[in-house]
Amino acid sequence: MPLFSSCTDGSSEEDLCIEPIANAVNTNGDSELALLMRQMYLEAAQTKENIVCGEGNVTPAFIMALQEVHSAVPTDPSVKTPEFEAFNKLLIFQAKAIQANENAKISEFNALVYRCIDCHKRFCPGPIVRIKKLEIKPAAD
Amino acid sequence: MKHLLFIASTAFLFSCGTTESSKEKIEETAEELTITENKFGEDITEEGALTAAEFLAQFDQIAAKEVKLTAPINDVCSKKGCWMVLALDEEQDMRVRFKDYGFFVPKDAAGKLATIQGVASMDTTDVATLQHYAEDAGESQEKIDAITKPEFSYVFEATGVIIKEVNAEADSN
Repeated sequence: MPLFSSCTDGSSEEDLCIEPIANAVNTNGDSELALLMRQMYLEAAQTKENIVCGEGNVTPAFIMALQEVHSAVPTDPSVKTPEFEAFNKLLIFQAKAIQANENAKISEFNALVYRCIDCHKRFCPGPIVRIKKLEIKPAAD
Repeated sequence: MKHLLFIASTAFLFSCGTTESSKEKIEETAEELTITENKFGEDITEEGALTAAEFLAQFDQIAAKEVKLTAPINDVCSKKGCWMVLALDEEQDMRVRFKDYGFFVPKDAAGKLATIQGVASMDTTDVATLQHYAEDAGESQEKIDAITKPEFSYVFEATGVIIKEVNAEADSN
């Protein structure tokens, strides 16, 4: 699952008559999936804070957003391949694993981050540098 | 942001047809320059920006440090505007990415002038990433498949970008 939108090759928004959505971050406008990815990044950051501070777990909004990836219109329609769908299912599974394993939340969350990176390596490497920062590192002694 | 500049140039054309006097013809051309300037990422200024030639000459001293330079844009990611390539000279260019994927530039910025602030380095870009950039640039599958070797080149992580476009509208009298 990409945390951000894909920008790999394929037909443009114009080809599909999809209007990019104007926003302050991207002057070119963003697709529905791009905006969803940005929202998921914020939810993942909140989840990280919840876990690190011992104040909670994966946010319900994060799992809901993951479930919307399937239907969100991407910047590049060609990314919606069976491989992309498989990554999406894997990540929903992984997010639920964080909820289910109360005693292994950090390792399960990091596994989610690594899988996001794997998906982005395949579909859109640009945001990887940012996603890596979500990893929960062991506290320094 | 738009600036208007008026440049009046006067051309003197001399004719030496008689010995008593020279006939003078004056032609005036008024040229209106419209400069459009847009900023992306951190709010930076152009002050202190190196030229591409200065950047290349000083690279050993400025690598991995905060630096600012101005150079023309050769190429931009045609999908999202998530990277651009600046021309450093006739043979060398530099790919610019934007810190933490935190901002983007207009997809039609190629041919304009960019001032960038951030950190420059030399780095190796692997084949998969080069192929992805080629896809983003709208290259043909044949060209993408022809990329088989990693590339060691200048790369830049920008925190702020100014893109300037100069449009001239000549008005002859």
